[in-house]
Amino acid sequence: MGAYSVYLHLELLEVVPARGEQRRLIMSFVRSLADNPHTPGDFTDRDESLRTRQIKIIGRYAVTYWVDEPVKAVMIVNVDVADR
Amino acid sequence: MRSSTHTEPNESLRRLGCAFSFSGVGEIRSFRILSVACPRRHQLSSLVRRSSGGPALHLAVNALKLWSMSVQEIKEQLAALPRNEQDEVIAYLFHLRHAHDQEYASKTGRRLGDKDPSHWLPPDAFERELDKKEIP
Repeated sequence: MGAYSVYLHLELLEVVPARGEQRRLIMSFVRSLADNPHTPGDFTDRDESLRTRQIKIIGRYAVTYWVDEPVKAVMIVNVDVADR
Repeated sequence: MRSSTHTEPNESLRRLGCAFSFSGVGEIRSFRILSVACPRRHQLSSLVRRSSGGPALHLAVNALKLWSMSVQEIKEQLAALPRNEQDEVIAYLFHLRHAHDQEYASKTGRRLGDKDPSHWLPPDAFERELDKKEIP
C-alpha cells in the first residue's frame, strides 16, 4: 500500500496542545496514519452519509479521523480531551 | 481478526427490544458487553433458560451479568482490563457523551464536509503553526 496523505483541519490548532508530551503523542499517531491509514480506532461509527469514522484514544485525547479512499487521504476531523 | 464495536443485537434479542453495544475480537466468546438496555428483562432471562447455546445465549448471559453488577463492580472489572481494552471503553464512552450533542455533531459534520483545501494542513505545516502559538 502506498503512503496516504494526512491532513488536519485548521480549527484543530485551537485544541491540539502547543507543547509537551501530549502534542508529541498526537502528532506521532497522526503521522503514523500515512503508512497505516486503516489503523482501526478504539471505536468506530458512521455518520449520516455512511462515512466510517474512527475514534482513537491517544494519551488524554480522542482523535477522530476518516479515510478518503478515492484521494488516498486520512482526514483528522476532531481532537478532543477524551474524558469530557 | 479484530471486529469493530457496534450496536446490532441478534434477532432474538432485538425482538425483545434489547439494545446492546458490545465489542469483540473475532470469536463470540471474547465479546464484551459494553452497555445493555432491555425493557423486558424477565423475557431475556427466559431466553437464557431456553437457549441451547450459541451467540444468542452468550449475549444474553453476559447482559444479565452486567445487569447484576453494581457500578463499583463494573469499575473493578474495567480496572482489570488491559490498557487497549480500557481505551475501547473510553472511546465508547466518548461516543456516548457526544451522541446527542448537536453542537458537536454540527462541528464534526462541517469539518467532514469541508472541501476547502486551505482549511486542511499536512502534519509538518500543522506543527509549524503550532510552534507559532504563544504559551499562556
